[in-house]
Amino acid sequence: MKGKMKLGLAALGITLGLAMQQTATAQTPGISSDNKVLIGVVGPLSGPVAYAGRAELESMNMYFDYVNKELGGVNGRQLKLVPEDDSYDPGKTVAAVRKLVTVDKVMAIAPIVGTAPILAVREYLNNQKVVAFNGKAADPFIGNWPYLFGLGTPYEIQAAVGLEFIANDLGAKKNGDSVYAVVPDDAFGNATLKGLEPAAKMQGIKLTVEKVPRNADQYGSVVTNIKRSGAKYVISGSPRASTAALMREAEAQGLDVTFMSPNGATTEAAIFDLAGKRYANHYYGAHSVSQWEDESDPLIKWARDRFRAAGKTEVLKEKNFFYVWGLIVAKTVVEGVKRAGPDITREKLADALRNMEKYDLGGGVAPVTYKGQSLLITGTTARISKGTLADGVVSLKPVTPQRSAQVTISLGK
Amino acid sequence: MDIVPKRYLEEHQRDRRKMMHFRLQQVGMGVLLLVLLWMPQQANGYVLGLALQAMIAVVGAIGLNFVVGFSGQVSIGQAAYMAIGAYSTAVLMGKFGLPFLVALPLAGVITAGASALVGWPTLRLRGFYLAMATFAVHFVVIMVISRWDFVGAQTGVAVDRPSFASGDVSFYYLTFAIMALLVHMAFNIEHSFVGRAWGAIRDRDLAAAAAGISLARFKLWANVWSGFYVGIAGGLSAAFLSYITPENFPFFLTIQYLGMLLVGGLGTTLGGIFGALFITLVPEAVRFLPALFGAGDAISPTLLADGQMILFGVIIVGTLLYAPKGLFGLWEDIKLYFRTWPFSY
Repeated sequence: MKGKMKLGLAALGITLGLAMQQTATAQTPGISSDNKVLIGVVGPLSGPVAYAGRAELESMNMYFDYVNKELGGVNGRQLKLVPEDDSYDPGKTVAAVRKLVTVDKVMAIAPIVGTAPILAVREYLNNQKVVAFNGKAADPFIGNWPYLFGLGTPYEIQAAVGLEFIANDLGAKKNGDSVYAVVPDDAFGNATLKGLEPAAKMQGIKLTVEKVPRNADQYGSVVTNIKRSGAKYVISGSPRASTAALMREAEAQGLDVTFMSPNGATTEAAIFDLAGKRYANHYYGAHSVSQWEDESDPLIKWARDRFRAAGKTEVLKEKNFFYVWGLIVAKTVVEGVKRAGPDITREKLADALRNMEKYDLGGGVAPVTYKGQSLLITGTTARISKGTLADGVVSLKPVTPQRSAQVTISLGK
Repeated sequence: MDIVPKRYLEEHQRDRRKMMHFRLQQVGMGVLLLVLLWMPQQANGYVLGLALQAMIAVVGAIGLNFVVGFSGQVSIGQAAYMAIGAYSTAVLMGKFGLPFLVALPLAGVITAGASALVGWPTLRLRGFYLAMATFAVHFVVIMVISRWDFVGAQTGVAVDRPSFASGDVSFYYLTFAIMALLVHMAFNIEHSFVGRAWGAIRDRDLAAAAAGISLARFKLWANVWSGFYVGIAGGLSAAFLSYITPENFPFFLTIQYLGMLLVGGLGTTLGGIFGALFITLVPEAVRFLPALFGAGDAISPTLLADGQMILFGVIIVGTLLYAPKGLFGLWEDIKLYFRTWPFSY
C-alpha cells in the first residue's frame, strides 16, 4: 500500500511538473533568443503515415544544414527547425500547432501535412497570422486564408491530366476503353474524383468509381468488379501499401490492365517493393513534383549527391516522394525568409511569399508563383511518368513534359 | 471514575478531525476552482488549447464511464457518438440557425437517442458480442457522414463558436461551466438510486434482477446518459476545432477514451476525470522531456514521437498490472495514508 502510494505521488508530481513546463525559446515571434529564425514542422512522425513525415523532416534538415553551414544562414541569421509530431491526428495537430505558435513562437509552420490536420488549424493560424504550408488538395485553400500556402499543382488537376493522358496518349478514347477508379473514401480521394470525373466526361471516357476505406488491404471484390466492368485501365488513388494490395490481388486474379496513380502523393516506384513486378511496365503516374529517384532533375540530383556524401545510403534507396516535398517546401520558405529581409516578422514573411512570382527552385517543381493567385497554391500542370523494369529494379521515368489539364476544374465554392 | 469519560473525549477528538478533514476538502476545492478560473488569464494559447481538450475529454470520459464503468457494458462506439454530437451541433447551427447554447444540448439529446437506438436491440448482448455490435456502429456512422452531402461528406463542415465565446479565453470559461455542471450531475447520478442500480447490474446482474432492478431499463438509461454526455463532448470538440471532417473521429479515439477509463479508474466519476486529464496531458508533456533534461535537440523528434506511442501502451499495461483500480485507487490510497497517519491502517 505504502509503495503504491509513493509511486502514485511520484507519478502525480512528475506529471504536474512536466505538464507545467513551457519551453520559451523565443523572445520575439519567429526569432529565438540565440538569433535563429524558427521554422516549425508538423507532420506524422509516428503512425501509419510516418514514412511521409520522417522523409520530409530528413530533407528539410539536410537543406537547412546546407543553408546554415555553407551559405552562412539567411540575412545573417541561422535557421532552426522545430518539429512536432501529430500522428496524422487532427486533435494532436491542434496541440502541436498551438505549441509551435505560442510556446516556441515560430516564424512559420512549413509544412503541416495532410488535409484533415490543416482544416483543424487553419482558422487558428489565420487569426494568429502565422504562415503555414500544406499539400495539394484544393479544399483547405478555398475561402479567405491569406496565410496558407500550397506547393505544386492541386490533386484535382493532376488527376485530370492523368485521365487525359489515358484518353489521348494511350488511346483509350479512340479504342472505346473504359477506366475504373479505386479511391479512398476520404477528403484525399474526394479531391482525386473532382479531377477525374469532369476530365472523363470531357473526353467521353466511361469512368466507374469505387470508394474503399482508407488504407484498405482487401481487394478481392474490387478486382472482381473491375473484371466485370471490362475496364482496361485502373486508377488507384490510395497510398502505397493499399495500391500494392490492389495490384497483388489483381495479379492473383489474372487481371490484365494498366494501372495509373493519379497524383504525386501516390505515384511511387516503392509500390513495387510491396506489389511485385507484374505491373511494373504497365504503370503510369501523374505528378507535378519530380520523383525522388529522378536524377535528371537538377535539384533532385543535388539533394541525392548531398545524402550520398553524408553516407545516408538508406535515404537514396527509398522511393519516397516526400523527400522531394520536404526539399521544395524548405527551399521556398528559405526564399521567403530571404525576401522578407533582415528585420523579418511573420507579416513580412507572409507578404514576401504572397508577392513571389516565377521563383525557380532549380528543379523539383514548376516555378512558384503566388502573386495574383486566387488560391495560394502554385502550379497548374502535371507530368506523367512510366514504370520501367530493368535488372529487377523498377524506376519511374518521365514520358511527358509538364502539361495543363484540358478540362477546366472549378476549385472554388 | 472520570468526570468526562475518556471514551467520550476520544470520540470527540475523532469527530473534530473528521470536521477538519471535510473543511480541508472544501478549502482544497475552493483553491482548485480559483486556480482554474484564474489560469486562462495568464496562460498562452498552447496551455489554453490543452485545457480545453482536457475538459472536453473529461465530459466524454464521464459519458463513456456510465456505460462501461458504472453499468459494466462494453462499448467501442465512442468515436461514432462523438461524431454524431459534433455533426449534430454543426448542422443545427449551420443549417437551422440555432444558437450554440441551444444546439449543444440538442446535439446531446440526438446522440442520446442514437445511443438508445443502438442500446435497445443489443440489451441481451454481452461481452464480445456487444463489443462487435458497438464496433459496427462506428463504421456505419463514419460511412454515413462520409457520404452524406447534407453534412458535408468528405469535405466536412465548419462550426462557429458562439459570438460571446469566440476567443480562447471566453470559450474556456464556457466549456468550464458546461463541464462543471455535467460533472456535478454525474456525481449526483453516481450516488443516486440509478448509480447504485448500475453498480448492482455491473457486479451481479442476476442478483440485481432478483432484487427487482429492471436490467433493460437501467442499461438503456446508461446508454442514454452516456450518449448525452458524449454528444455534448462532440459538440464542444467541433466548436473548439472550428472545422470537422470524418477524419476527426478515427477508431483510435475510442481506444483513447477506453484508455482514460482504465487509467483513471472504472466505475467512478472522479476516475473518469483523472483518466481524461492524465491521457490528455501526459503525452503532451513528453514533448518537453528533452528540454526538461537539458537534452535540447539531442533527442531525435522521430524517437520522441515513437516514445509517445510506447508511453501510451506502457501506461495502459502498467495500470492494468499494478494499479487495477487506476488513478482513483491511488488517490484513495493517498487520502487514506494521510487520514490514518502515522498509523498504517
